[in-house]
Amino acid sequence: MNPELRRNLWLQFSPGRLLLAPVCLGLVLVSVWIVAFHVYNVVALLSEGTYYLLAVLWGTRRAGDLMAEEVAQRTWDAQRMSALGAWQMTWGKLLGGTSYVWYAGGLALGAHVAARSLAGFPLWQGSEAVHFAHMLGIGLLGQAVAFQTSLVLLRKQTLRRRLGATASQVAGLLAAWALSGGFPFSIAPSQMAPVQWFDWTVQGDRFWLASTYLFLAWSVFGAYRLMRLELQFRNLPLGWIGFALYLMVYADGLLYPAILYSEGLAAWLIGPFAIAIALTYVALFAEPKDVLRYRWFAQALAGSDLGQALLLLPQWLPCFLLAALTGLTLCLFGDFARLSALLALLSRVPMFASFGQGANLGEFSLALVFYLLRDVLLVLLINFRSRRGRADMGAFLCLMLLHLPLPVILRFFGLSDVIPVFAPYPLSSGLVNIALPLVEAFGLWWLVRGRLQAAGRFAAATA
Amino acid sequence: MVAMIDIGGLVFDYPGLRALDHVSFALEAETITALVGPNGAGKTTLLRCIAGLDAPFAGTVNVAGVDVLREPRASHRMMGFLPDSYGLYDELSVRQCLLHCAATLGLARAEQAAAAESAAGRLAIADRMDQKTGTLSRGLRQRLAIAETIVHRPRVLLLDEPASGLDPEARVGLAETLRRLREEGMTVIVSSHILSELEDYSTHMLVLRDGRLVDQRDLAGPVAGSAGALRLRLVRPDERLEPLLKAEPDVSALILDGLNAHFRFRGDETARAALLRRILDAGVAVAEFAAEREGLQAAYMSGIPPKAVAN
Repeated sequence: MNPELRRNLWLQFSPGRLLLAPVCLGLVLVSVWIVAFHVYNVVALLSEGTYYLLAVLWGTRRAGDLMAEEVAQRTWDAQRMSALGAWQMTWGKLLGGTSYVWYAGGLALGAHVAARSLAGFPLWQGSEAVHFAHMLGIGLLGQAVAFQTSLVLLRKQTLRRRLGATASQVAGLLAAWALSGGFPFSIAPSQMAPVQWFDWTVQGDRFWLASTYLFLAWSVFGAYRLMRLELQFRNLPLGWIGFALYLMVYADGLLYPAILYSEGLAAWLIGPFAIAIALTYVALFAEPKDVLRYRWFAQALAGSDLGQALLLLPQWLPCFLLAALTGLTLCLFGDFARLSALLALLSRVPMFASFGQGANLGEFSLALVFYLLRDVLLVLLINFRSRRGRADMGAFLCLMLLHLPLPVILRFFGLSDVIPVFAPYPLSSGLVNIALPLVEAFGLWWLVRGRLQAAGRFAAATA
Repeated sequence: MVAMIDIGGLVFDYPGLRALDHVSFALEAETITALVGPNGAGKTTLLRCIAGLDAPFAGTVNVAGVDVLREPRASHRMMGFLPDSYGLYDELSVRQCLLHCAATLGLARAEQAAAAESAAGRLAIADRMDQKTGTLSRGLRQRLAIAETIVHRPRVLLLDEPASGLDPEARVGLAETLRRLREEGMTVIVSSHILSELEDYSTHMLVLRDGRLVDQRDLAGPVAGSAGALRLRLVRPDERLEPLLKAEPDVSALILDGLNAHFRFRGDETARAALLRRILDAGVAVAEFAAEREGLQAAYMSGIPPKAVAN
């Protein structure tokens, strides 16, 4: 047996706890069955809700707390000194740490299936089996994402017990909700709208089931890759690039009806472009931004040591390059005629008004790339300060202020021409939108370079 | 000599601070090396790099022939590391803790129970096997933590400030344990800035200062080119001894104490034999002539400038 799984089973199960879950659940469900005039559907609904409470709400909490617990107990170094492989450690911890959740949740799930069968909806009916599998998948996905997030926070050395566990839990809950297809309860799955993905029109419950398990696989894979780094293995950035490409294809599949309407290359690239930008920000904030690591990366590049450079490659960089590539392609070859017409319709909505008034979407795409570059350098500069503290939080607030309240306030006071100093503005000329972030990025690069050089000037170790 | 631990050009940086500056040394098997130096000298960073927990910017770390930086997990099968602030699973029993460590450190299932019993026996906690870890005293927790690190019978044991927080009795117990582990064939590095704690069991010493290795010596004998401590015991008092030793150019720090003479002598074993021959030829009746084990404090103070010693 996986030693990490066994340790968790020792910690999670005791004779008392083994009895507690079935007794409590049994008493509640039987009493409800009696009170509800023996209507099995009520019992099915209640046990289903109980399952979500246990597997998703409590399960994400447990999964998000697994690494924080190790850090708080100061046992993580001993775990890292073990000879277990990253995969053994990942699944042993994820399944073992949530084993009691699954024991109690499994009982609730079993009660749900039994009650539905007694209510006339046996498991072997297609939609019932799909829904059952989807319930299981949502629980697993939420927990896997929470666990993965806690590993990200651990790597950033910002995993504090309560805050870290809560942040990881929220990430898990969001993922579970996003892949639930809206309303995950058994009274609704057959009413889920069909989903068109490229040329295939798939029944809603089946589409979300497949999506859930695909994202679950990516999440477990991501947790495994992060665990490898924790255990001092070296990773090439292929996993993250693979996920970015997968997400681009997945998004284009969902946007397919709009792509068909808009025609042309631009329609195909807008989804991937947006995904690449979003993932650049995600990777930028998810990774530790150790100034020395960036310095080593620069030294490896300067020394043409590509193997070492790939190992040290910041994960935001491949996504930024994908954004730059798609942005440049949109600028040079994008045909936005149909899309502009669509946006012109949207201009009746005040928020989209700018887009309907003749904005050059091609140039604007390129401008977005330069603003992205400026933002990346700004985040790095803030992180490269000698006293880092809560650098990422400060950088995040800084970007939020630049992109949201400032443009709104400037526009309110009729100072729209100043907006491109802070954020992309579709109605400004292409030259302004491209030149301003470029100048800012150049200035920031000069400062970042100074910080990188300063990091190499070492003070003597102090007593 | 085949080194059990071989460190080459180790460099480790923190922003604006070089914690390890091209540190190189080799340690023989079956030795206990005191890793000493002032606070912030880089002792913990060095141990964590040897243990494969932190990756240095440059350099090599070989333990028992395994490249730790390339194969950190393989190296852990032959290494044990007790960090300064270690933790234990309070809800598990002592037996479960040891079984878990035995399993994670690669022992076959059939060997795990015996290994756990053996480690508990060596650390004298065999009578606590079914006690919850959370109920153990500080000294017993320390022993359990060391038992966990040696349960797989590693060839190398790294201990970072192992005696901090222990009472005097527990410290004596720790010293005995370390001596026994060395006798069983283990190579041990113990880091501390409290020299008296290391005095009893260390055979060698490494001194770190400002991230640099400033001294490495065998505490049992003289270091090449430096003066080692010698003791001479006479059969009966003899007035000829003092002028004879004072006339020797390589003898210094002479102290005569009844039948005993303590002094420092600069020279290798051949030179020592020649010195003894000259004393015997002068008709002095010698009962004993031996290298005197040099105190760690004295060795540390003689090896580095005084300002580095101040914490």
